[in-house]
Amino acid sequence: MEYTATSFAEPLTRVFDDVLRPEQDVVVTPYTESRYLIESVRFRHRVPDRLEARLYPPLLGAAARWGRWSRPVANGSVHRYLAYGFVGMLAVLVVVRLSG
Amino acid sequence: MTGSAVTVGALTAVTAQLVLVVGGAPLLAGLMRQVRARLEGRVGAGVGQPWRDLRKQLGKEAIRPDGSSWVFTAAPRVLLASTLLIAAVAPFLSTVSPLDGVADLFAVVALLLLGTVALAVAGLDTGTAFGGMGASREITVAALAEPTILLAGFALSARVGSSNLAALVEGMLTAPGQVLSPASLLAAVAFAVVVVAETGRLPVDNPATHLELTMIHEAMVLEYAGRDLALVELASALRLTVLLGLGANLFLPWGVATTASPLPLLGAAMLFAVKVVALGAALAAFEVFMAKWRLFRVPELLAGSFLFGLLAVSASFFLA
Repeated sequence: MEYTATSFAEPLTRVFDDVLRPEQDVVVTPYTESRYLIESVRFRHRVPDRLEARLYPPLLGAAARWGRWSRPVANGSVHRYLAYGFVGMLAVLVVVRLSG
Repeated sequence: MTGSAVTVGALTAVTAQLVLVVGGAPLLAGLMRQVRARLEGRVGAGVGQPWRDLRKQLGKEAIRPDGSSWVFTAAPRVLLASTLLIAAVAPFLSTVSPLDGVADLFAVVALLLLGTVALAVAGLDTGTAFGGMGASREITVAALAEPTILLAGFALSARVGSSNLAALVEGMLTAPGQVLSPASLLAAVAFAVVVVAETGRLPVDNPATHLELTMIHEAMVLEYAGRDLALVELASALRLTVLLGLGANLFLPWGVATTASPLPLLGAAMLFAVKVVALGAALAAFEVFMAKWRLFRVPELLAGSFLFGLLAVSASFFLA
């Protein structure tokens, strides 16, 4: 018997199980004749990346919502873009005047 | 004293320290077994037994398991060499040392970890179930214990402003009141727990066990025999001595010479031996009253010691 990387790190995973939340399941397949006679046992243990699951979907969702919200602001009208430019320049002039 | 005379004196100090630590380490292990035996009502094998065992094993052929590679052969040598290096550079007798630059807290912790990892890799290399099990457990304990050594060291080095071990000891010597400061006491408790865990003593690991399933350190080295086993045994006795010595000198630094002249060195050597023997005897006596804990209770103990280390660091920052 040799140790795999997962089994080698198993004690540490167990120590930090509150943070890492390892998942494991045991699938027992009995023979059809009797459920006390076992044909096979499958054990599965994995440590999913909790940070990836918790951090990225909300962040990506927020970015997508912000994108959808800001779509009507840029609707392709040239007059609207000129107005943005004019207002922007006025704002810059006011800021320069106030700070100088 | 001229410059070259100082260097010669410092070199003598390093040599004396190495001879003392290497010669004394098996005797310390023997003493601890003897204390334990006497307290348990046995006669015991005597203080010199580890040296006799080493002599016997060194004369025997090293048998290596089939299919094991050079990693298995190299590991005891790496372990012994890294521990010998710590024994040479640590400020056990004198704070003046030509190897002063190496005696850094981080370097010493890294060297300790190097030995642990070498032995763990060798345990895996044999491909046996017990080797892998011991390696896995040892790495778990090391991963939880090493940060605490660093934290306990930080608590002392925050005051001195250096992570150099000699500077830490000198800082303690110049301000003797610091020995009883909250930061030092908390750090000492954290360090004591780590020493117990790192050297595989009760309640973390039982060095005298013959039950493979409860072993940690012993399971890793099960496959070693003859000369290689002698190296591993000597290295683990050295590790115990070095860690006890570091604890003694960092937290009770009295008697450490600040020069390299012979008379203070002689006094320092005697005081160092007395301190380490007293600590070792206390540890052995404490072990008599302890049973080995379940493996998964050990992290609780180490988390407790980590907390003490954290408190020590906070105390040294905010109460200093």
